[in-house]
Amino acid sequence: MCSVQETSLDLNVNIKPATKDCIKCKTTKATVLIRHSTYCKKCFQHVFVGKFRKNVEKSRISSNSTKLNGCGEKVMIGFSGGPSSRTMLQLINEYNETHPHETSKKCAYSEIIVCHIDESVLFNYDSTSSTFSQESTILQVEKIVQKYNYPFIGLYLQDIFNPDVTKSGCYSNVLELAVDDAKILQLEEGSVVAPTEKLLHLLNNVSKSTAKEDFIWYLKLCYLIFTARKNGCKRLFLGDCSSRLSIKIISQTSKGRGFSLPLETSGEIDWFEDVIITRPMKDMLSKEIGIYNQLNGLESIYVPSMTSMMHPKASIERLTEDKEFPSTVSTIARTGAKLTPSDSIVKENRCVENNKIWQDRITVMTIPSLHKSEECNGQQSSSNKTTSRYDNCNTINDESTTNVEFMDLLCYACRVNMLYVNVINQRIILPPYVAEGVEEQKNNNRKQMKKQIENYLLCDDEEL
Amino acid sequence: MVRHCVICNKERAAVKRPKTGQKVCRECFYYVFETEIHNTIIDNKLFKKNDKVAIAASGGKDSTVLAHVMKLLNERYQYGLEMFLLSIDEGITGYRDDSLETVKRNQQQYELPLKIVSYSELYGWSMDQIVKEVGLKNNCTFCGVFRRQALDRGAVMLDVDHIVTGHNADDIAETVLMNILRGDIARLQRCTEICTTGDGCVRRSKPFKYTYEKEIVMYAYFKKLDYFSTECIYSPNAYRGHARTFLKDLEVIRPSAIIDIIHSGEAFEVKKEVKLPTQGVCKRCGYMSSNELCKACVLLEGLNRGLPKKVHGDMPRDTAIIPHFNRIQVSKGNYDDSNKPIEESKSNNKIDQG
Amino acid sequence: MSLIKVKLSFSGGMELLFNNIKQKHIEISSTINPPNATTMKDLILWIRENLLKERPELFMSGDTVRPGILVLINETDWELEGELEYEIKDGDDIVFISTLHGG
Repeated sequence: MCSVQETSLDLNVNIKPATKDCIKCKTTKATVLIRHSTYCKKCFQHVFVGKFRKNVEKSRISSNSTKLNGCGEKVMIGFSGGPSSRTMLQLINEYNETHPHETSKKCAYSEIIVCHIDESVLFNYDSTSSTFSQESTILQVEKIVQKYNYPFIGLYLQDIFNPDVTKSGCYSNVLELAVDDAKILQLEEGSVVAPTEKLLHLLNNVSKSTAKEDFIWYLKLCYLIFTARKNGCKRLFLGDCSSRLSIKIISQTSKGRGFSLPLETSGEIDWFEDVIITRPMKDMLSKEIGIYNQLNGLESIYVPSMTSMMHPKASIERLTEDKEFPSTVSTIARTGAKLTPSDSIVKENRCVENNKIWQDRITVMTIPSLHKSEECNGQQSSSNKTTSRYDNCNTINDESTTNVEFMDLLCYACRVNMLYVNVINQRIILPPYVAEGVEEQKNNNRKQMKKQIENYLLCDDEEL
Repeated sequence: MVRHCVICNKERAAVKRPKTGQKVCRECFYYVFETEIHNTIIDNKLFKKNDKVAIAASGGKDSTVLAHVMKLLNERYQYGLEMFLLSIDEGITGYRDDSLETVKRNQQQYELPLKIVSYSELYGWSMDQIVKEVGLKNNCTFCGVFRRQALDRGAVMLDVDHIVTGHNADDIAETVLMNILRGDIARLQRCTEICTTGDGCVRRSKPFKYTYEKEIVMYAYFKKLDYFSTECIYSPNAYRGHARTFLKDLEVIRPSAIIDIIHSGEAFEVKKEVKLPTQGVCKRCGYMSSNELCKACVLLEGLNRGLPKKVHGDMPRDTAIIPHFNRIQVSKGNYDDSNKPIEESKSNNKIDQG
Repeated sequence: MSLIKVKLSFSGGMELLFNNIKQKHIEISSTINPPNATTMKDLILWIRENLLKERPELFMSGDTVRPGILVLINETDWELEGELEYEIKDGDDIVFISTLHGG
């Protein structure tokens, strides 16, 4: 890294545009341009850190007001090693050591854990020699984290298949998807396929990059949430900056995820109830972050995404990254900040029947056969289609669910993704946490059914 | 190799459906295309029996197919609608005069009464005159604002309950994107509504909300519908460029993207603490407006102020004030609550296979 | 014609386009396009011709760097230095940082 030079007046004598002063201190020559405002190094850093502090302060006050116990909470930092989370790590550390509004030297957070998920499995894994052409990022990341003396958790994405990455912490069944059914399977001990193989098998059978990227992102997010929960952290810090968020707003909208946009882009969201997600970098542009890290010698690691080196039309995410929209990043981010999930849609997306019908109605894929059409309307015919296609498939026992039932447990956008999962010749395995969720949902449905009919049951403890 | 239609498994597949990628024959394509629109109409309870409906007709592909499909569905499913064609003459020589000829032919083909409302009659200015005055920079703003009002005013003249427009899924998805890019939160929330009903104003809806533009063109092509496809001379591929290109790219990557965006748009809800403008009426002409004067009156004022400098001999100045807008009486005749929306009836759902 | 020395740095993933080289000292003509002094525009083209190993579209877009690439000239935002018009001087320290990757 090159050394930070002091103001380099002599070098800039001949430049064409008129040299501008910093708009804040008005005395020093500006060296940074952010959204039409010019700053000197010192003022830039001051403003930058100030924005960060405002965001963490706000989130801390809102959570403290409910608890009033004074001592800070235990938090987890999701650290990819990339520039934005690198800045975040540094600033959280600074904030935790000195924060202005309290005179006592108490820390803002009782404990800080740093968690990193290694994704090198996605890049050129050679199954014959069990080696990756890209080395693990954990060592590089750990080296950075060591400077801060925080406990570090390095995880591998493929370990999302471990039984402890579940609500109960020890759910070892997985969900197997085939053409006609989705079965909850017990994995036989001993003959266990390595998690790496399972993950790659799953991803290799997702035919489009857009769906693949979406899968990976949700695996990662769930892994982070489970890890935070397991370690008793009440808060998860994610490093999405405003440039990133504006891309996400557009790409998630394009993928039909409007309903979950607040989860993906809010500065603070309690979507997962017991673990609050906070995005303290939400107001910073990637340009600001790049400059800040450069000025402070904060080294980050290069974290490629699956499509970084691909053609812009490789995926929706990649296409959105490549577009230069005429409006500013902040306009888009502000729009996103004003949205909240609509109750009815969230409900629909968590219990999906209505929505499923909506999809079938506006995209008609079949015609009712002529003799049937006399007595059934379009809606019934779609359910007819469903039964006729599935009534002669293998008998439904307790552990097996039809694909249709499984699809009904998914949100709209995940169902779109599932269209790109190739189950024709393959049996695809989804991680235990998905299987656990399916089982839980099924039990809930049984309970609800029981409740509805309980007056008619002859025996209270009737096994259902 | 002969590829069979994946739906009926009998006929030769003639098209790959843009919406689903299915390879289907013509008849099945017609069936799914029409049924989706019928489903949209029924599920959203767009009409009541005996409603008087104006079809906004520009002579372009969307409105021509709309007129065709509305007439067809009205007969097939016995909606019992009384339908009209409503056209706006913006006064653009070499463009609208030609497309109005198409509409007049449609009137004959579909045997629907036609009403033409012109900008000069309503505002005292034709687009040709406006362009002379303001040049080619903001002319589309004028045209857009004036057209919206003109449709409502035409609807009042026809005494209809409802206007249907040819906005398709691509248009709506694009509007969702544009409103995000522009940060227009109020519009973002409204733009996916299939039916807008300002208080006392004419109901307006979009039966093509879930219909892909490509499929509309395909339908028109196979059915050999007579439509006018020249672009407006004042805005060759003008506004919307950016979001449109992006949408088209998205569609290539994932065909369902257009519907997915609409689904996203429907799910957006604005936080309660965010203030949205309230709707009132224009002090001058009585049209709905969130400000003291509606946009049309503001634009018109600007135009007329410029008048003394450039004298237009053929245009008397006193016509340049918009006639007062008479709002529709909500309690009028066939709009009482006892009249239920048209629902799916079992008897008339036969498949019209050619 | 004289030669000028320039220090180039690539980071944030930019280095991958340059054979993983993070820093490079180069010597270029002070007038690549005589009689005009060498500008950033000339330098960027020179880099593409002489140093870039793969995927030019990930480095350039039109005649400038791809959006999302941050350029600092002697620790100063190049947007304050005239961007493509900036005339390269002996001893300049120029940093290219990709801001497109990682969160």
